[in-house]
Amino acid sequence: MTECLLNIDLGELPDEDARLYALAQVANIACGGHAGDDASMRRALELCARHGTRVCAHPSYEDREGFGRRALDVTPDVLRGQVASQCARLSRLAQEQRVPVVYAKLHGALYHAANTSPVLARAVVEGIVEALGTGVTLIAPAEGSLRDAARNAGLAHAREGFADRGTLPDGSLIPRGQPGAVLTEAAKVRENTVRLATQDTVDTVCVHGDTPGAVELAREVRATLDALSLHVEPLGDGALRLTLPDSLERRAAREVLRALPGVVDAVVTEEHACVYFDPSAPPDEPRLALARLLRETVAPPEQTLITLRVRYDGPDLEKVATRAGLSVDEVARLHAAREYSVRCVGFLPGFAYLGELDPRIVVPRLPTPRMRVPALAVGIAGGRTGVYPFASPGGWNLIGTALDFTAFHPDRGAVLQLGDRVRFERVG
Amino acid sequence: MMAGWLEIVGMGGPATVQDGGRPGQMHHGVPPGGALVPELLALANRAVGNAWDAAALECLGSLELRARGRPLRVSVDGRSEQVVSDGESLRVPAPEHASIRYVAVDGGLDVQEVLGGRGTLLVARLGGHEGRVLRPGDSLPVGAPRGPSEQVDAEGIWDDTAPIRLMLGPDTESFDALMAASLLGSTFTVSSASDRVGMRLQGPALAHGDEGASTSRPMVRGAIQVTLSGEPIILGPDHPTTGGYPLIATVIRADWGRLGARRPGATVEFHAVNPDEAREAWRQHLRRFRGGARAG
Repeated sequence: MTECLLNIDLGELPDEDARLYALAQVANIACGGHAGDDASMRRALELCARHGTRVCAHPSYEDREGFGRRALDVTPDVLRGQVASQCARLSRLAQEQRVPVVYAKLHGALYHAANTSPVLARAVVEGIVEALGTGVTLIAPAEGSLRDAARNAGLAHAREGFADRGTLPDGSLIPRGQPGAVLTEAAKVRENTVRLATQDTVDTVCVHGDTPGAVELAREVRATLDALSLHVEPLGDGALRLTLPDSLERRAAREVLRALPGVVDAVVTEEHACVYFDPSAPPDEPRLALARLLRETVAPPEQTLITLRVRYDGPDLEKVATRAGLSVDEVARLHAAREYSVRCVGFLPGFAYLGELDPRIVVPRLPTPRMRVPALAVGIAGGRTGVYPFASPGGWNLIGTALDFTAFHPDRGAVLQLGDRVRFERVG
Repeated sequence: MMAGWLEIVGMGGPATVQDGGRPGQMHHGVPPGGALVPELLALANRAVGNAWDAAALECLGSLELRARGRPLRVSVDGRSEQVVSDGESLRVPAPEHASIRYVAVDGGLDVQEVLGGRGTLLVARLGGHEGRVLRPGDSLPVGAPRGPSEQVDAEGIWDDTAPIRLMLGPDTESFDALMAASLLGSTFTVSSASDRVGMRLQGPALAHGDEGASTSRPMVRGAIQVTLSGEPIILGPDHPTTGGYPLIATVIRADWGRLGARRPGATVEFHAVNPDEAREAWRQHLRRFRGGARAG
């Protein structure tokens, strides 16, 4: 599935919330037809530049009084001229600010009128091409005259769905003014977004900037789309592996995934999360469970600080020192000088991957793993360090031995948890 | 009825207590465990009226057992139960065909449950009997008998030479298409260096350019990881929960037992299936071996 982008109609209202520009991936900027003037367009372009939001020209019938929502009787030729001049106006201001205009989308009544009239569609597309060239992508319904006109003119076409508009059973929008036309309830909008984004029938989803509670709705839609854009791949028939964005709080992600109906277990590593389930009863889209975490900044849970006493007496200590060009004493000092955090729990019961190691003592794994590493050996490899909870095979460089530490309790499980802070205290 | 005990009198090979596993503990670094060949465990347990996943003996060699406290109904790999009177002993021969065999007693082995399972996890010395391989003289508590024996036809439960089904990936970017073709087109041999942690295969090397520099990733039983030298290792029930080697493919769940049953020297060939085929195979597996019940 390709990424589905959030587009928002913007630059229309004087008291518009600037946060919408950060939430939008495509900003449809009113360019004087139904709303907007040079000042509003400049502000919108500036906000797009700041947030890396892609700019979309949003021409309309010239009808500021009716906000472009009334179908007007305008000849195709006049319409072509109106669309071209609106687009050109935005394009000129965008050039001043060195922001490219990469999309075009018709506003309101014109969007619908042109999509059912090949003649109008050809006229507006000609207007767009006249002002913006053929490099822009036309945002338009999946089917209809606009798609055909875009194809004929050599424009790319992005299929659009509306997150905040109710649909009739045949899939068409409920006309404005009728009950259920505009959705303002977050849950409904989310549901609508999931339907649109997962059926692979649209490339972009719209939220109207003037819908009541637009910021909240846009945040909901963006989080849903972001969650659905996470890379997911099967790990056999009983597990799914998700690639996590760096920003996602790991422990919260694990708990949210583990609580999903049908999920037997969830493992979070530094870059991935994996959910495990019975192949005959897979869970519903697990990525959606992460949407809430993507929407809100989740405060990391209270982080326990655990201090482990270490005697630096490992068999690889000298080799590590030689490789690092340091004394054995210096390696021990650097290892014990930092506070680490638990990046991942795995490999063996209670084993915690701790990072980041001081770059001066980063060494690769052993070329050949040892058949037996004693319990409580302290190892380093790459940017990570850890304590072997049990005697086991292992490929890390052993630099010390942890004293009086139990990494794993048969009744409670692992002592070190994702996000916990760890310090090593040098003894002996 | 008096409490029962199963005494280990003699052993011709290693044996441990194993059951249906302890799912849901991987986030502690605890592998799912469970029988190497869940099908044989299920058949043995059902033959003595136990739930399919009750704790039983998983053994690589012959065993001599004795009943204590009460007569014990015993099944080996699902064959008709034998009643062993209190104080009498029973000799169980080494596995004839599969790599491993299961001895179930009515009531199941009532060793202490640890983190939701009774199976032995040797690396962490937990579960089973003192977390270790059994020794002559060990005495294992037996639970209360549950119900009537259930005969499941154990003959020809699978074809030992049929290909093992897998789903390719997920780390396809680490391997070129030739390697997938090599995996699917070659005959591998089970190495003697195989255990509950993983089964090593001998055969053509599956070269990849992955230096193993990436951070550790989540693992699953059945995942086929490929070492730097190109050797495939198929993760078993006691696999490390995370690992750094790339995964070329993953054996589907319905075939975990069929694979685990192959002894060192046996050949293995693979056949790729899609998720729908895998799911259907698993449904059939559940119907046949667990009496239609959903996996626990």
